Amino acid sequence: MDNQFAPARVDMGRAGANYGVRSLMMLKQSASRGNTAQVNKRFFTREDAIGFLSIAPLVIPLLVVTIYPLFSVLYHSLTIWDGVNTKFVGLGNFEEIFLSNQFWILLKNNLILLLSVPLQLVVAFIVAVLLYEQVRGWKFFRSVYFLPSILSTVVIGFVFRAFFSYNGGLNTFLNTLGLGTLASDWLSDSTTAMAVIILCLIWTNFGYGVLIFLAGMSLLDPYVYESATIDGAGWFTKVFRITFPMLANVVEFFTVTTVIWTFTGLFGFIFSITNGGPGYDTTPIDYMVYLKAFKAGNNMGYACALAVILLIILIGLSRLQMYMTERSTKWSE
Amino acid sequence: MAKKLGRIIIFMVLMLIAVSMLYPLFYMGINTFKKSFDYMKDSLGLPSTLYLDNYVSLFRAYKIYVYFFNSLITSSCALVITLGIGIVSSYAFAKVNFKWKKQIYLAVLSLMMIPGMVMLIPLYVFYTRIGLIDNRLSLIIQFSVGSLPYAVFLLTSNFRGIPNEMIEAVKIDGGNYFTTIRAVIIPMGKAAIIAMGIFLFIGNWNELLFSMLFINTQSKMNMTAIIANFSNVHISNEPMILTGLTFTAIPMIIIYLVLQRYIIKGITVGSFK
Repeated sequence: MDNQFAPARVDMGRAGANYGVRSLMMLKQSASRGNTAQVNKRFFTREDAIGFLSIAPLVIPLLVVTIYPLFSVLYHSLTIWDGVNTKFVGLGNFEEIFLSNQFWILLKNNLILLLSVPLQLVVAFIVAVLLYEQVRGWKFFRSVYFLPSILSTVVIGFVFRAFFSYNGGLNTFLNTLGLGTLASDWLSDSTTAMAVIILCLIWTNFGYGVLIFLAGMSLLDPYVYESATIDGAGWFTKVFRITFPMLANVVEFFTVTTVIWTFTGLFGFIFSITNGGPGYDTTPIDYMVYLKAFKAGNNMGYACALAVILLIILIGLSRLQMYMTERSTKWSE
Repeated sequence: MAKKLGRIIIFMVLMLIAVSMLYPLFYMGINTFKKSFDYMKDSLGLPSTLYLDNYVSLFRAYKIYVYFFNSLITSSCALVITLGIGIVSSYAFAKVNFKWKKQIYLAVLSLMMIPGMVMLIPLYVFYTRIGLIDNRLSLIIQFSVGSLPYAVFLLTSNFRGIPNEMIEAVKIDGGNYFTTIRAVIIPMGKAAIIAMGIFLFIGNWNELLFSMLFINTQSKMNMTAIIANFSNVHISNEPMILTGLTFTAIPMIIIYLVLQRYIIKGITVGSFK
């Protein structure tokens, strides 16, 4: 059963959502198959008691701090809520969201941010292939590339903000080159601000990709390469005809993980680099949940509805992933 | 010859990427030694004098150690709670046969799918109602429970590898439930427990969203929250902000340098099969 959870085991929660989706899939499968694992257990045995007592400290807090908020957010998305008073409005919030232009701007921002995913994938794959050639000091490189993953998003975000702000490093560099006319306030223009965020995401996350790609490659069969070499395959043929297809499951894992992360894990970056601005031009959906609830007018019901939309997007993505996984297993059979 | 040239080019490319990974940290470091005025004039050059006032005022005027201590307390308390609950329940999931085990396990894991942002508003209201907003206890609860599904996932899959014979042997010797955990589970699962502990600590230390929203009084804030606060107040004094960031980053960099072995292994532990 373990093997269905592909590559990484621990990565500071980044892959957590992906594992969660997989668990949900398996839960559905095991429910549809029926409960065949435990046969003829009629009594509540001593072992049952031990088991339930052991997981009680896990399950009870999770019910309070995860399940309850989940139902609460679902209910309050149908209300006008200020944290104390609730007024039921049915689908009013959703109507308001979908009829406003703002929501489509947020969704567009999410989609633009998703552009960072293929870029990360390409960079991570190329670097992993280069490192796989056992370059001198490959362990050092691997460690350096992974370094941003242990830093707080606030630290990374504020350093990027400092570097790209008007008095920051980039403009100083342009001035020294005599290109002072190109200098501008990069973060107050929506296009360049978005580009800075995407650059920051690539910088932060590609090392994680390198790490799991390398781990995947280390399990490839070296004989495949040897026979390919004997058949006269060149380096590029080997990389794109053998390595990449054989790593299909790792590529899929990294892509799904990063897509989900892009929808849910960027709060710290957006907060520190642009604060969602200029206007709402770099605000994705999850950042808007925060803004609506705590900054712009304490509109918690509306924010809950946005949160529910975010959750629906995530579920949609997981359906898509299920569909893709089924297709790929059918092909390989 | 061509092959050797190719190797050198590859090495240079990798080196270039490595430099670009380290440069932002270098940029952060050198500018902590500059006056705000010098930073505005030239943010790229090395500092001309060793100007330490940023560090001094961070200690004297801003009492940075208070927030450092807050982060340390909340992160470690949450880490201990997560590991305590995680080890016991993972043992049950891995080695005890009880009703609906698989279903409960998968249901717990599927909670990882729900992002914090979705639950943020009800959680904020919940902690307000039970009077824990502006109390570090709310952060400890949130950090520890929030990472439980993840910890259970890692520890359970690791504990499954522990041979049943060892557990039986302890039982035959008259050991009870707790002896089994202490004498078999913890020593055998040590590597996974250490890796999990490191990840939990790093994750808790770096957390921003809850740290920022659940605490209002400055003296109770974590490092990340105070930096976020600070950067809005001192928006024109970039070197000061960068000094604060350096303080937030240094413990993590030290942990990474010292415990890298566990971290890299924890992420890539072979499970492609």
